[in-house]
Amino acid sequence: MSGESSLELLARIRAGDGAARDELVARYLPRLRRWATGRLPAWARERDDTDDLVQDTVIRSLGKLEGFEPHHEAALQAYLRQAVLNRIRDLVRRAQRQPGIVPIDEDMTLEGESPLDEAIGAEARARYDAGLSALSAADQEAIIGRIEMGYDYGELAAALGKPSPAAARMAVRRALLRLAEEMRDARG
Amino acid sequence: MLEANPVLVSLVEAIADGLPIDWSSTDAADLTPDDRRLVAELRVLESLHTLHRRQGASPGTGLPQADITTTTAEPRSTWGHLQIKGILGTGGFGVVFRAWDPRLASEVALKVLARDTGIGEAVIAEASLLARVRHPNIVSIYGADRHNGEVGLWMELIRGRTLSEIVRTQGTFGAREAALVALDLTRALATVHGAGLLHRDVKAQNVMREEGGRIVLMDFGAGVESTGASRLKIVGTPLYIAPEQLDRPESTPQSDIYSLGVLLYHIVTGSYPIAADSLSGAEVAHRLGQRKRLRDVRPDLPTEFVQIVERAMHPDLRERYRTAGELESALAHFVVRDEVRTGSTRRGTQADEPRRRRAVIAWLAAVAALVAAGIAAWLFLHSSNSIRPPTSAAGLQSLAVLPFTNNSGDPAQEYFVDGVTDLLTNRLSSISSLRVISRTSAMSFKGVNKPLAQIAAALNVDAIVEGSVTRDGERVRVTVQIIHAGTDVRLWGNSYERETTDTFRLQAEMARTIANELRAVFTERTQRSVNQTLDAKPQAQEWLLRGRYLMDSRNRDRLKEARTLLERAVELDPNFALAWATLARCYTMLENTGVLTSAEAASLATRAANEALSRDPDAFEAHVALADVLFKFDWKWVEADAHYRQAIDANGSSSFARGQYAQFLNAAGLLDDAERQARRGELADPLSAGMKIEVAVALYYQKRYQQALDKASEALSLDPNLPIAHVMRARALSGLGRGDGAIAEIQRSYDLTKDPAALAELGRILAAAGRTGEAESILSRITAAGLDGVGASLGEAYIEAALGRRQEAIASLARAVQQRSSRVLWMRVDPRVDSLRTTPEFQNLLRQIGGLEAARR
Repeated sequence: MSGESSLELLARIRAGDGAARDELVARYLPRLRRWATGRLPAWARERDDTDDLVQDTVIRSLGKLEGFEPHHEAALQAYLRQAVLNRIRDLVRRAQRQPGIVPIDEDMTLEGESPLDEAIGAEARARYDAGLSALSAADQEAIIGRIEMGYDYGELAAALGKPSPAAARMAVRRALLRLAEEMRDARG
Repeated sequence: MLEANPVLVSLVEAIADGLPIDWSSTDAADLTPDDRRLVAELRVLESLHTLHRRQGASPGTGLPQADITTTTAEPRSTWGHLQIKGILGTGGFGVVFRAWDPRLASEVALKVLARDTGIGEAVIAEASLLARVRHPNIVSIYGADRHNGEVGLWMELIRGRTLSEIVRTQGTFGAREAALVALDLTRALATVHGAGLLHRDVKAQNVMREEGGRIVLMDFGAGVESTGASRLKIVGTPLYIAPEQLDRPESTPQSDIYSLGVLLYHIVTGSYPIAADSLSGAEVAHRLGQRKRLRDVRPDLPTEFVQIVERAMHPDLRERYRTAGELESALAHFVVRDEVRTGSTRRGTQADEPRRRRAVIAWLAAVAALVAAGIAAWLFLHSSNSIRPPTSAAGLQSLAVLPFTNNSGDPAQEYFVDGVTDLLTNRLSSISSLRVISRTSAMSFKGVNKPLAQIAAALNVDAIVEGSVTRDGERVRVTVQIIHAGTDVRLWGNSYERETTDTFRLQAEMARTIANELRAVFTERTQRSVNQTLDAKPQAQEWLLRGRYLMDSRNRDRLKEARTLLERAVELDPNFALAWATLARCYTMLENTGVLTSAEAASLATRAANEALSRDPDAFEAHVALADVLFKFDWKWVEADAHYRQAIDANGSSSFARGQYAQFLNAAGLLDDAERQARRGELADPLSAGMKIEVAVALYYQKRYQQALDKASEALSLDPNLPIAHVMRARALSGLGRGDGAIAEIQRSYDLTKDPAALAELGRILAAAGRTGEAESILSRITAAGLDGVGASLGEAYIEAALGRRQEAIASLARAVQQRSSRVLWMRVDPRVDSLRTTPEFQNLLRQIGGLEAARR
């Protein structure tokens, strides 16, 4: 590991530096895989190519960065997560067109089948997603980074552009409380 | 965020930091309905975080420690030498954490005071007060300190719920159950008052019922020394404060008794005798006589019980019980009379029912898991109605699992069948509301054809579990049933049939399904243990079953075989906690049979026990093994005490754990506690000669020689060739001055074992009987034969003491201490060295071996 920030690595990737791309992939891949596993339906998790799917998506996405100017690492992570999510949805759509594969709702929410659903139930998962989307982008990144992707506070501070790990922790705590309030209010 | 309720803030912090949370603690928190809904959502978020952490590496906080230990409001990973593991509860006083104490090698509860409360000194004082009292129904304190400007107090971690929570969530108690709780509390208060202290804040929120059923009086924050009447500011909840304290703020033992009366009133009614939310409100209510009589609130309660409660909280001091002992006596009479009145097939009370649902088990061997879950399901379902006839009633409080029958026609399957019995017994033992007979006693009925009613009577149980296992080619079939002892009626039964290929895995999956179905009745700890066990590799499970079967024989060659199998099991599956725990016990047994030296066994058992506990903190066999090493090898009293307690907490029906703990408590000089533990062990294992010996030993150290003799005789009637039973009879007879009988008994033991210790004891008894020449001769033999080893020095000391040669005896004793013979650990209470006790040298030796109280000072 070079110790360079992800944004610095990104700049080197733009300049055609393959080693920087490998390092960034190595940095993000394990967490993105884990995150994706939580979002995938059971049948897709059992596919051998899920890991390849995430890796392939990250590499491809890093090759298509024209016009994308992240101001901090969290934006880059969000970009990559979105890319992986899109790829999962493609996978589901394709599966839907093939006979013998579990049919998926049109809106591709993948409800009722992911580990998240199994852990908390589809209804709570829906409240979570809705609550999350109602938060500010900064709050969303704080929660996704800490809760879903397992960043420690030092990493999170770097990703969120916070001055210290303690500040990142405070951001997570505040975001969590706001999210819980959103979820409570959504329940009515 | 900053305006949020501190409970919510603590929960959010714990979720963010990935610390475990005891959600039950929020039940007692002061929260609005809105806040409670918020807590429900926080639980969802915690589940999510847990799920993600399981899928990947734990993120940790990534913060330098200095950043996270500075203020109470900040989450933290350490406090002083304690490692924070999670939050147990919060309140206006501060936060209670679950923490790991590396010095005690034990989990503890750490109470850290909120800043600016101004009661820091009181907490430090609380520690010093509590250190002066030791009682099973009083929380044990380990230490108090200041750290970074905060005051913290760490103590025994009690896993359970407060009486207040129980009443709120499960309904009120019946009279008998309330009386039993109060009996424990009167004993605790008697100890407190006897030490010249007062509690001053007895209330349902300050009393916990541990998962194993133990009642524990907590929180002496308001405690003060009782020098007559104490003139300190009134502390406590207005509803529990005695009326005389409102006139003049004085506390006395009788004001603690008043509070206990209110507690009793509360747990049987859910309400209080007066309605008040402030001291002045309480004052007005008392002045106007606005007391609701217990009879008016619960007309169904027995008159005697109502009278006891009314007298305990009588406004007039002259009418109130004067001492905790008086109240205890009244309660004890009520309980006995109630027992006679309602009989042994007593129906459950209103409050008993939900509590019986708490525990149900599944098992490593999935067969046992299925059976256990079935039995538990039966208990669960049938405990929901208290008006059933006895044959299907909730009144089942004790049972024995008889050895399952091997119907395979293949003796080679015996290990598997016995394994099912063993694991099922162990697992059922963790049901806190149930007394389960230890396997040793139940196994004595293996192959015995007796009416079940007779067996149940011999074991003193309400019901019998029996079953059979048939392993036939590709299939295995298990049948099981519960028989009611009094009526011989079959209460429940089921059978399970599966393919033998990959049996464990298949059945483990089914057990997990059943466990999930019954999730509501599983305790979190049980669930954790079950999951841990079910995840083990099938081959490792097979080796475990074979290993445990071989260990039953206590034969050294078979123990060696067991060791090999168990070592293979943990090598194949290093995460298999039960195999590690069993291996730890196996190592200690190998030391007892002389295969391993003490040093070898200590090292191996410690490692195995730690491996087990790192994966399953409730592996009780590992706690016992570790405690034995810490006590007998390392002489670390406090740490050993903590592990023995945790073992009993995890499995209260284990006679093995209670027997070992009794030995320890004897050595520590806590003779009443030791006898209590030994007798609980005897109750769980009524046909075990070994447990009767533990009771006999406890009686002997109390110099109750006749009772010790009787108990050792009972042991001999169960096992006529048990050498230690002859030794104990000899020691008791010698204590009674019956030298000839004592000599005959010890001679018998020596004939059986040729143990030099028995020879030395013969020398001592001869000397005590005045036969000094023969005693001298044996002493010379011991020395001349080069037996001056670890045990022999102690033997010499006993003989020399009996011969009146005090200086020589002290020198021999000092040598034994220097050699670190574990047998010297009982010198604090051993009557055989009474003549040396007052010498400074003896006291110095006592300091060298240490002790529980010494370590705590």
